[in-house]
Parts: sequence; structure tokens; C-alpha cells
Amino acid sequence: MSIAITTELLDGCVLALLTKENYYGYALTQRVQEFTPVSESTMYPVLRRLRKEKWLDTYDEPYQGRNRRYYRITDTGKTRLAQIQTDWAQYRVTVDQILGGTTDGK
Amino acid sequence: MESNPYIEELATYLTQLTKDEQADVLDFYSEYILDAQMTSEAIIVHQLGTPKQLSRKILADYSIRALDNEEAGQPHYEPKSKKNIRMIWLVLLALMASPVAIPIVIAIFITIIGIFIAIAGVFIAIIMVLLGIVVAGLAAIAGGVAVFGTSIPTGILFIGTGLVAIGLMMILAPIGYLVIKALIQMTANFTQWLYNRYVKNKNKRKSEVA
Repeated sequence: MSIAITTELLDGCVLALLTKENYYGYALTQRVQEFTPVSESTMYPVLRRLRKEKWLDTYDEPYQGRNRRYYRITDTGKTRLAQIQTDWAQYRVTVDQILGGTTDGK
Repeated sequence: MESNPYIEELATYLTQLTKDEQADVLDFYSEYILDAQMTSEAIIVHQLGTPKQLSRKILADYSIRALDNEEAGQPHYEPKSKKNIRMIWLVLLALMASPVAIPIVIAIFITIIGIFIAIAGVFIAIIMVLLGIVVAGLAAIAGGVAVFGTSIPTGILFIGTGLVAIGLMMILAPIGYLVIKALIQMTANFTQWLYNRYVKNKNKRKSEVA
């Protein structure tokens, strides 16, 4: 996939993944890399920022004698996700119209 | 914390961050390395870059966001120009550390150096003009005082001219200061744009190929 993802969309996708399941850093990075080519060094700043905005929080769980830090979406994070979903829906319709892709008619 | 030489080396490059931030970064990456089962230093470097490259990306990210926050009206404790210059420097380092084709790095580097030299030129020109006006003004006043005894009108003319020159300098000095500040700001914006254009995109392209 050759289209670079924007910060907002990446935020939205990370938050959306976390509504289904709590992930630890590596697993989350793997899931994100399944649909967009982000580098290993991209995810840490994203997670740090989302936590700073209080859209997600973390908790530690022991795993094989060490801790794994899990990320969990917060209520404000869900509000933020809904907002990004609305923005994206509008944006997608506009881009589809210009690019001549399929719109909501299909 | 894991006693991983990679993590230990990374820690030595992050001393600018607070203790909490350092611990957070190091925890994240030591966990990541274990979970990704990167068993050798070579694999880690292949995935994350050398500790120095990774640290530059982390630091550049901090500095750029600090700048964004500042524009959003949050408090800041450093003069803006100083912060901008530091940001330009960090972005340069990040560019050097990123896998951009070497010619592009050289071109960007030379462009930025060129801009710096141009700004320095403008800076020096402004200072020299102001200094010149002051010296001419003082000389005119001194000359006026010297000939005052022989010709009062000539003396008054010279002293008056000198005072006008010094007054002019006082008006021009703040303008010169503003011009220099604007130039530094423009360079900072341009550098940030370069960072977004090349470093972020290239990283994505790189992992796409991998």
C-alpha cells in the first residue's frame, strides 16, 4: 500500500483496535503493520501521545517473569474515536467522488 | 530494566529527557525487543536502527511536538529562537540518521547551510549598517562641537545631522531585530517541513519494502 497514513487516521485505527482488545506494544505494532507500513520507531510516539491526551491508559501484567504493558482505551478515547470516524466518513465520501471510486451507492 | 547492551546504549543518548520519560522509552523498547524475539544485536539494529539513530528519532519527535504545543498556546520556558535553533539541529541529526539516499541528505544539508549563511549575512549587514549610522552620527556631533567656536551655524548643522542619524538608528534597530527573528522562524518552519517530507515518509517506505 503506497498511501501514507496521517496522524489522525493512525490515532483512529489504534483506538479502534483497542476497542476490541487490549494490546501490548509489540502485538499492537504488528496489528497496525498489517494494514499500513509504519516503522517500528513510529508506534512509541503515537502511544505516548494518545496516553498524554488521556485517550488510552496502561496497565502492567506479568508475563514470563517480566511485565508487559497493556494499552486500554478510555471513555474520552472512545469519544475521540467517534469523532475521527465521523471525520473519516466525510473525507472518504469526498475523496471517492473526486477519485471516481465507489460511493455509498454500492 | 533488562540488561540489554542495546537498551543501555540507547539510555546514554536520552539524558535530555526527564527520568520518567527515559524510563518510559526504555521500558517500551526493552519489552518490544523481547516480544519481537529479536535475539541478536544485528536483528535489533536492522529493525530499529542503531541506538543512536533511534534516540535521534525519539528526541526529534519530542522537540517537534514541543513546538506544536507552543503554537497551541501552552506555556514554554525557552526563548523561541533558541528552541527553533535546537529543533533545526535535531532534525538535521535525524535526517543524517535516516535511510534517505545520501545525495538527498547532502543536498538538504547544503541547502540548510546555505540558508544559515544567508541569514548570517543579513544579520551582519543589519548590524554593520546600524553601527555605521551610529559612528557617522557621533563623528558629526564631534565635528560640530569642534567647529562651533569658528562657525556657529556649521556647528549646529553638524550636531543636528548627528542627532538625526542616531535617532534614525533607534528606529531601525527594532526593525532589524524583527527581520532577524522572522528569518530564524522561517528556517525552523522549513526544516520542520523537510523533516515531515523526508524522514517520516522515508521510514514508511522503508518498512514497506522490508
